[in-house]
Amino acid sequence: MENFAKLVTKEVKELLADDPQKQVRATALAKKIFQWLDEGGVGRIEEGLKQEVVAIEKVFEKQEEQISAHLEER
Amino acid sequence: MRRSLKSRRSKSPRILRNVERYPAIMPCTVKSVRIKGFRGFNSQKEIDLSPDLVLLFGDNGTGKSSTLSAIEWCLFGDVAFIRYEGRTHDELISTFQNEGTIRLTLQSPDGDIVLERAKLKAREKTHLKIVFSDGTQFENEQAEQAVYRTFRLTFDDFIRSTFLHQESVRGLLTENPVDRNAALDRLFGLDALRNITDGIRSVKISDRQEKLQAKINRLEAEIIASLAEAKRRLDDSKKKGKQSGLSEAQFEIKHGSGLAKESTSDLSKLADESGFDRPFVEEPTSFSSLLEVAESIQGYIKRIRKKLPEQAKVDELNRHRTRASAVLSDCSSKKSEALLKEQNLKAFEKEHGDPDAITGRIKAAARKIEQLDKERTEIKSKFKVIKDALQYLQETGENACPVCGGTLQDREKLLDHLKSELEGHEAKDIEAIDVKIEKAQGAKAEAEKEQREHKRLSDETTRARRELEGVVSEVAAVLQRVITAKDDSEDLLREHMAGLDSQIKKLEKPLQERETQLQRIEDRCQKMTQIAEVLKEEENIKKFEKLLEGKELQALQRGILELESLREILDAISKAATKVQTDLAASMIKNAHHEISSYYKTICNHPYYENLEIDVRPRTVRGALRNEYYIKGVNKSESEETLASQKFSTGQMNCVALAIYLALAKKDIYSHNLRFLILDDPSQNLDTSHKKALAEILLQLVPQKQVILATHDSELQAILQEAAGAKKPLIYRFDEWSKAGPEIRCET
Repeated sequence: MENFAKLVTKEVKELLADDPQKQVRATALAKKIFQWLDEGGVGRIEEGLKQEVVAIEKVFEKQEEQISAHLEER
Repeated sequence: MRRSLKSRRSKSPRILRNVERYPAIMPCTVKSVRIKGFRGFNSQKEIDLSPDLVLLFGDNGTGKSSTLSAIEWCLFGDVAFIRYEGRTHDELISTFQNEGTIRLTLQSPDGDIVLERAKLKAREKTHLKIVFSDGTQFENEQAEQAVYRTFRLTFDDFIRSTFLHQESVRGLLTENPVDRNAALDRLFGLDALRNITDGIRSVKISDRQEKLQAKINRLEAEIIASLAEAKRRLDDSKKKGKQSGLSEAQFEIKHGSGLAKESTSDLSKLADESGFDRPFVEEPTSFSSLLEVAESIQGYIKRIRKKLPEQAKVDELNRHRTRASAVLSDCSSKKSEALLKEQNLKAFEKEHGDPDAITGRIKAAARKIEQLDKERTEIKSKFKVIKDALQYLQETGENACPVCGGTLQDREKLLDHLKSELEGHEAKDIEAIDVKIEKAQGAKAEAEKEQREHKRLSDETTRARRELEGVVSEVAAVLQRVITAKDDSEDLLREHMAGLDSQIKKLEKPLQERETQLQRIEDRCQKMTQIAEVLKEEENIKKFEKLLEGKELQALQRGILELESLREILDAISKAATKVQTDLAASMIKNAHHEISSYYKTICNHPYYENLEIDVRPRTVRGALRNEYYIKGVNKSESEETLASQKFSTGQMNCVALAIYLALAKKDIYSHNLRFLILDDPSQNLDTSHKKALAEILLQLVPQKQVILATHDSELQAILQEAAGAKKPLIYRFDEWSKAGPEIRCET
């Protein structure tokens, strides 16, 4: 598994070579994905990624709630 | 039901910090296994498996596969058929035992390693103990980790590289290319990478992006609609404000504040004059506080309007007037009624006389009746005498008078006379008197009726008078004076009401002035409300315009961009995982190509496609990048090739699976510390020549690997036994099964 992680990380770095910021995020996420895979397979990866998405969606929803509140104030 | 491998946990033990370094381990073989309470093994059985080639031979269901499962369960706490067929671990424990225990002894050049795993029924966890040759030992989680660290493989690795299950072979024989590719990925140990791409795909970020974009679009549309609505309301409010006399320049908080100040000042003055508390109003600084001030002032006006002294006086006078008016009306009607009743009584008396006259008539009629009754009795007596005389004369036949006894001169004449009196006068006289009686009775009844009617009229008149007297008392109460007989209550009341009207009229002017004053303040409040509404809508417009152009929507858009960035990153990881998967598969195929080809030729010995080649390429299947394997039979001399899955028989595909598995095992693709191979029933669908070839290869592997093989195939057993020659396999014959467990005979 460690070998897989190293190989995948190397590939990811190459694929995102022109975007260093994204490269850093991708490397960190790949590490997490391998950790999730080790913890609970595909189900755990799905759960972990959904949490990542939900974190983004929560910020979105908070902003959405603020706008909706502005609209309701009228 | 068979479960998909990808949905199962592929887990290596968690690293524990407190575990000391393990003794250095050289590759191990199986020395022995001791089984108790596991599957069909009820009583304890110990099987020596130390030789390089061990055959477990017997019919299906005699305990061979259970023996092999005992080895994998002891090492990893898991069993392939449980994992793939979705069954429970309790099925591993014997029906007649509450606990299953396996003791597995592995031998390495450095000494024996003993593993002991136990599980109680209905308990999820198993207990594992591992003891190394130097006496180092671990239990439970530390022991699981020790297994992983010592032998350097997980359960998944084990079933790929060490234990050839029928499930692994079956995957290659399937007609579905997707399942076949998945089986080959598993065989090459690459399904972990496949799990990564599956996990990434399952998140469906694009769907979520679309959902968020739809939300943004909805919000944007809502803001635009709200902006238009606010503009429309602004126009309406300004129009209304201008109609109330406000100019364009006056729609500002300063003007609203001025109006509030003026209103408060006027109200305070009015409060002082009327003895009320002054209103408390803060200076408005925003449209909402201006609105609050307007509402507060309006509320104050509403409260004091009813309590103004002038108004209170007018209300009191009106109450008096209303009462006087009601009494006047009552008085008039009662007076009329009393008069009418009296007139009725007088008219009656005029027609029928007064009560004494009526009583006199009744008495006279009674007397007349009495007299007539007497006359009637006398007439009846007279005719009785005549009847008696006539009867006497007729019955006796005598000629003597029945009264005096003297002789009758003309008896017959007398009889005729008596008869004629009776027949001619009795009925007539009585009838005449009866008519008179009836007439007298009629006169009496009529007089009595008149008496009753007089009484009724008299009573009514008395009641009307009393009611009138009651009303006069009310008049006295209203006027607050004594009413004498000379007084005309109605006139007095009218006079009183005129006085009240005059007083009310006098109060109207000051009251009207107060009302005008309040109305002026209310008009200001209305203007304040209109200014507030205009300011509110102007603020709304600014807010909506800011929302449309401002950072809020941009922040939402950033959420989508973040998801997009996450999607790109996950795409890159997915692509990288697939590339690594493809590269590793290609590398392993290349590395083991010689062995695969050689084993294929030996086991399969295809009459035309003498070589086997495997290509692997990434391909998008149902939105996911996958390794696609092309297993081809090749005829080099005629430059012909075909996909094995299309042209090969099941037996030939089984040979292909065995060739790949054994080649990978031989090449030690997985660098772990288990130097043995376990094969469970590998000769399915193989004919004699294939079996011979399989035996040949297995024997070639034997110096390098220990081989433990279970089969019910007597032909394979015979072939192996014969081919082994000097290597002499250790053969266990699984004959029968009793409640104690399988009957195992050892043959050498």
